[in-house]
Amino acid sequence: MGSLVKIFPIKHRDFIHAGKPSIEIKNILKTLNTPREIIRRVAVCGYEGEMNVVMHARNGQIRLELSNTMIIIKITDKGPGIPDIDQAMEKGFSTALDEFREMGFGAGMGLPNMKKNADRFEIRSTPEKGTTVRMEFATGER
Amino acid sequence: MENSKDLPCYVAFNSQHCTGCGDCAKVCPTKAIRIKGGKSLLLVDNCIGCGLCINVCPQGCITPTTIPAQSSKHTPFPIIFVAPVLYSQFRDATPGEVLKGLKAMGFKHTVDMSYFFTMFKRATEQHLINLGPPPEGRPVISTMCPVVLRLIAFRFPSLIDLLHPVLRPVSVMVKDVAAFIANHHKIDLRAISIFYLNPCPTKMNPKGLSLPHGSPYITRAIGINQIYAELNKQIKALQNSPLDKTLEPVFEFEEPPTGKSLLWGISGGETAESTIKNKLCISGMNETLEYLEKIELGLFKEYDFIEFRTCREGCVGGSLCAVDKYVAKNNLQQHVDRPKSKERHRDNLLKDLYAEERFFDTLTSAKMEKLFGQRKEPLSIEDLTRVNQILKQLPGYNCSGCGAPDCQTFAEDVIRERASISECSPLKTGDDHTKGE
Repeated sequence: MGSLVKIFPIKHRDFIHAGKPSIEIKNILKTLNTPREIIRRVAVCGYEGEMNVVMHARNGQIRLELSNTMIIIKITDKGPGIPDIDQAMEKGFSTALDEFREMGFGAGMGLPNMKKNADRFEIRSTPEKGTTVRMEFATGER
Repeated sequence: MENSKDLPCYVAFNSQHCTGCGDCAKVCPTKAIRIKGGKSLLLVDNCIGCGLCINVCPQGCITPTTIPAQSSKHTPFPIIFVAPVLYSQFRDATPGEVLKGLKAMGFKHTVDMSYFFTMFKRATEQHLINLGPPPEGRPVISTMCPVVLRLIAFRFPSLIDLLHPVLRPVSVMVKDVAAFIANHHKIDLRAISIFYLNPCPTKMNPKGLSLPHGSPYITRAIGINQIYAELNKQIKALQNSPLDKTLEPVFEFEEPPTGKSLLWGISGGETAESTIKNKLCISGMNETLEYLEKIELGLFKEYDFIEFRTCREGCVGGSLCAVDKYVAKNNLQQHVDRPKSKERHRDNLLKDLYAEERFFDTLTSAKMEKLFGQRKEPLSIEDLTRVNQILKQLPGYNCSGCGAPDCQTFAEDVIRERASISECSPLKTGDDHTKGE
């Protein structure tokens, strides 16, 4: 049984580097010959999660944990928190600033997309403290 | 050289003049080159035939594995398939004159590939209609550039499902045209030799083409730059002499293209005259890689179609072109502005062909992966942990002193037992005090 943990920092409003951690995670999964359908789902979830931190939170991190049967992505941020999680999970609900919307982000599909693509999805948030999203992907025995 | 049989080899290294500078290793998008013993070494399994190393080598010791143009003279019935980028190489000759020049060189028939590409374009339009509105199945990725296909299979397997699932036009046309010509001249298929006149090394090996198995005819590739001087001479000669009727086109696919059909050789040309408006046209290897990464992150789903060309500006930027890409673009524009001749395709005919599934192969994702996916041996989680441990020891300069393009690749090579950690020169000299800077 092997396991591997990698942590990548995410910076608020850093649109230039946003996506780089998810690309690196993708590359790790490819080296392991992970089925392409799983790579696609992990990549989408990782990127949506990163963008949430870049747009809404202060700084945060994305943590990749690999075991022989599971991929776990945990995105933690120090941010304003989400006051109403049920509302945030609705398709199309967004609190993104207009400037981000003009850049093509903030369509309110991030969290619903993550939930749809992960095998297990958990979100916890404390106002004024931050938000944690944890997603699991079953890979079967490697 | 590490050489697995049955694998295509698109380029050859001449070690005599190689100085081991490592420029080729650095530029390779699949990390298929190492420097060993002061010389470049190609890991054939990982080469996708993009030709970047040919362009970057300061010594000119990397060459495409083409065949000498003269070899066509020793075959009884040579026909030549012409990539439409050829017309861009001539400023003062029309596409028609260029094709006649090839016949004057001894080719019995010329086949203008854009004739078939137009059919392919029609199939793409129909495929998008059948998919319904975006984001369903989007963005559809063009399969025109074979390097893009191999790049996707090798580095972006999760995007295979977005590839336009039609047969690549090359496979359709070789089959059809050879049979048609053999029938017309009442000759044996085996008497026909097929030559490709190409701007890039990627089609050089017949194994790299999706040809039907057991084809009786042989196919060979010639680089445009190998034939350019002689072709130019022939064109000049025929421009100065009364018209030789034997050089006139016989079949419809021999007719020179006009209008926007001429644009296939430049980025954006694939969709220039199509109904597809919601598209992105991307050229250059770095740009292609960047956008493939983004598509894999789930972006650009609102676009119908993405046209990728790994050569900058499209095929005019191919490493086997004879003239500069920007000059070539301007030449094409001059040809496009000439009066247009009749349309070569009747739309109804194309619709019927599509309905008959004439354009489709049973090109499943699994088959695609097998055809083009020359994959690296996967590592295990334990291996990756060891790679990370090695990376922590390395200075992180990406200096290529070890012969690998960067520290990450070197660390993986050590785990794959292709390299020894003692080959890292900064580590050996103790020059690693500035690690991470």
